[in-house]
Amino acid sequence: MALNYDYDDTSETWPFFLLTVVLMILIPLTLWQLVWIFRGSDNEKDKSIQENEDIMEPLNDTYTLASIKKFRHKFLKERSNKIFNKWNLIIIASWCLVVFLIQRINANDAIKESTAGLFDPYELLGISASASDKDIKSAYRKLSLKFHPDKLSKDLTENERTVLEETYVQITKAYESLTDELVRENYLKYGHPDGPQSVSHGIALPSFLVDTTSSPLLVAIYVLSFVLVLPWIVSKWWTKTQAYTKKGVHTLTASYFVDRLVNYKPSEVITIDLIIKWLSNAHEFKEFYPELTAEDFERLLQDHLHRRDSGEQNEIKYRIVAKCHTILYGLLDVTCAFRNTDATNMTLNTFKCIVQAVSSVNDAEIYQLPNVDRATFQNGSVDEIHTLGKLFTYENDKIGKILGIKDSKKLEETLQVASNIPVLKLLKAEFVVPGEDRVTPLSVSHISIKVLIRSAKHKLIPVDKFPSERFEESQDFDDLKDPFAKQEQQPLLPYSFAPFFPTKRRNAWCCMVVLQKDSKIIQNPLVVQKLSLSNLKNEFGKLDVKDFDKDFNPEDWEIGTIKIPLGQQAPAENGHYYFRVVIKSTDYFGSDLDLTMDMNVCDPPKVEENETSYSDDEDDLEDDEDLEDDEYDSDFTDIDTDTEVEEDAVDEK
Amino acid sequence: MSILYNENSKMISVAQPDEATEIFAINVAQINKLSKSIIAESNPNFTPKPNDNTTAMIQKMFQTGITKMKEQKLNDALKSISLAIEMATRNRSPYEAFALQLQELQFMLKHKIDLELVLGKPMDALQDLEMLMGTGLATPDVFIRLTDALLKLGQFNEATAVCERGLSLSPNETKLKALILQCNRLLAEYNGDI
Repeated sequence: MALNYDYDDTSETWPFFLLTVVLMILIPLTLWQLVWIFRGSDNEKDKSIQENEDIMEPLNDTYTLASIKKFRHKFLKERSNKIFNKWNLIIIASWCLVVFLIQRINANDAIKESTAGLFDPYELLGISASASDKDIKSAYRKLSLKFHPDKLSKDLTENERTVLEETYVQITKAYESLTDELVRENYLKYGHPDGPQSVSHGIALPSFLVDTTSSPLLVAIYVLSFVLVLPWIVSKWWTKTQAYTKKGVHTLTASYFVDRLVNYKPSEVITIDLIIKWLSNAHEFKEFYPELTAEDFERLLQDHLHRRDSGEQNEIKYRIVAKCHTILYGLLDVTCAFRNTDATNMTLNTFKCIVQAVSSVNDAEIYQLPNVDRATFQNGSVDEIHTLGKLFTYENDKIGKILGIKDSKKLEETLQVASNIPVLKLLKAEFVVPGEDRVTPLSVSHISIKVLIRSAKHKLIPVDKFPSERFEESQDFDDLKDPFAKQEQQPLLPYSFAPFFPTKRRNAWCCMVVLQKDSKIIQNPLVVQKLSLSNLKNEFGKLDVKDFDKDFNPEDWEIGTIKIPLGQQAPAENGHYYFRVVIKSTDYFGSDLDLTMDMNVCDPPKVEENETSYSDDEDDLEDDEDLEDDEYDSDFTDIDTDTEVEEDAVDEK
Repeated sequence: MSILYNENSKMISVAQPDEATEIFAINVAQINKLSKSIIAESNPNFTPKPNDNTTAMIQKMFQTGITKMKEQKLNDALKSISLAIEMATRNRSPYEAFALQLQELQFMLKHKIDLELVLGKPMDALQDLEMLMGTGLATPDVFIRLTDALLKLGQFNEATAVCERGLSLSPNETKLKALILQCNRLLAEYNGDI
């Protein structure tokens, strides 16, 4: 090893070094960007357009306020221009640098010289690397006849003779390195038939940087990057990971919510206003606008719910309302970890209220529609109309009168929105243990819910009109192995109709599992964003269908599946255990589902043959379950401490 | 945050009332209430057992309510029973064992709720039902009353959920079975599915 290092005086090494570093970053970046340009669009949008037609999106755009559009333009840098953006410019500049470096390497004589000194026996003999011994021999013989010092013509100058003689020595060395054992070993080990060659170690810095004049600068750069920049980047990254929870909520906000629920008084009724009050204490808002107080944020959020204009503070309002999305999901996790069903329900109701900008859940199904004249609706209707389904039992003209919409185009748009809000109709719900026909004690099961996604305008289709085999669980090996894969293949939900929400958003259904015994939530909510809404297109209006059996064809209707994994294993004792499953939409009123399920735990059918293998299986199963439990607990280890008590309670029953 | 102790009145108070949180203030008030009632007690051998005199008074008031109910004076009956309940919550000393009072309170509350439902005050009934369920009572009759109150308020989704929960706790309750059918029918009508 050389003790003193040479600097790169002839610029042999540093271009290679730089080229390697640049390409290491550039190639993955380019590939990623290309994938994004060509695939990103088809993947996400086309799939939802093909199967879930975006009817709501153009309507949503029509009814979005100009100020919201302005806000979107300003704050949400949609990557609309795919070709001319910052990243593409960086990539192009980097490729230019690569080209420049290659040019430089090609033009550098020192590099060429050092490559010329390399020893390649095959090239010297003029044969390919795969040549056989016979070919090597014959090539050597031919060349030695030509270059052998005795065979050279006598009228050559001294100089030419030396060159040719050197060539002969090289040819002989090449031949030996391919045939003689020792020389060949030297060649393979050191790259040269004569054994190790001199190796020089250097630093890939161009010499002008290490000259006396610029060396203090270099030292300064080193100090800056290692003493200041690197620690700064690491600390920044670290504080960021520490400041936010996995769901992207600030830890101070999350701990405030935890504090609210720890100190929650049973006598206090949880209302939407209370949740809004909690939200307005979120630390995120304070980070955005340090000069405003929680009261200001509460007032702005209430302004949003009552669709009031906040004047100059509109932009602040939009920004905090948009942020509510993440914060509400954070709150949802906290309320579920506290197993508080009421708080969870109210959190999701608040979510809907914020998305649709309505102040209470009363008649919200009607108020989420555009163009509704609230005064006319409240005073005018003779009958009890609170739901979309009830509204569609009337003729279109009558609906216009009920809602106070005179313009026929506006009415048509309102009806289009109303009929495209998905309504869930329960077809079948069961506990499934893959590979078993029943729920056995201590087995790992999941909930499988078959739903018909229909429009409020559709006539009710009784469950028995569908052939029962359409509800059967698939017994394919793949489905048994991963029962949740099928759910992921359903199309992504389209954009919601939420013209008052500052950003475009997609609906989601949050699925909570509640133990009926104590009315408490047993696990974190599952968020479903993939379901086919193709049924909404079907013509099956309440007033249009005269002859049900003639008009109804089960094949026209898609059946959606929601699968909810259970965090706990089935109880050890046989018996009936009741669960309540609440499926609530985050965006629309009237799209929820609330059902009670009976888990009938019973022993597996008696199998006579070898008992030993059976007990082995069960051990495996328990191990798996332990693993899963650990994973689940790790999310909220500090909060969810009474799960075990709960399991005991189940067992007791 | 610090607490001041007044030796003469034996009461505690918050040193800086501005800084005290709501919950802290409640805790202080509760401790003061407890000490006040213990100081006021003249009997040196008092026990946490509910005071017999108060029990007799409450029972008398409650009995008046029941008699009026039998005489079909429902409004008066409701008044008497409400008074009895108020007495039970106010006149009892805070150190008296609540577990023993609980049965008495639950029994009276059930009657009060029934009267409120009959008199068409489902909102009041709902409040009392929440209090009743808050005392840990989850028997089928509570669910029947709760479903009834919610149906009267037109909250059909909530009523169905409550009724289903009642049924899962006692699957053979015929009244609940009948109610769930009624809930489903009303819900379908509410959603325009009939």
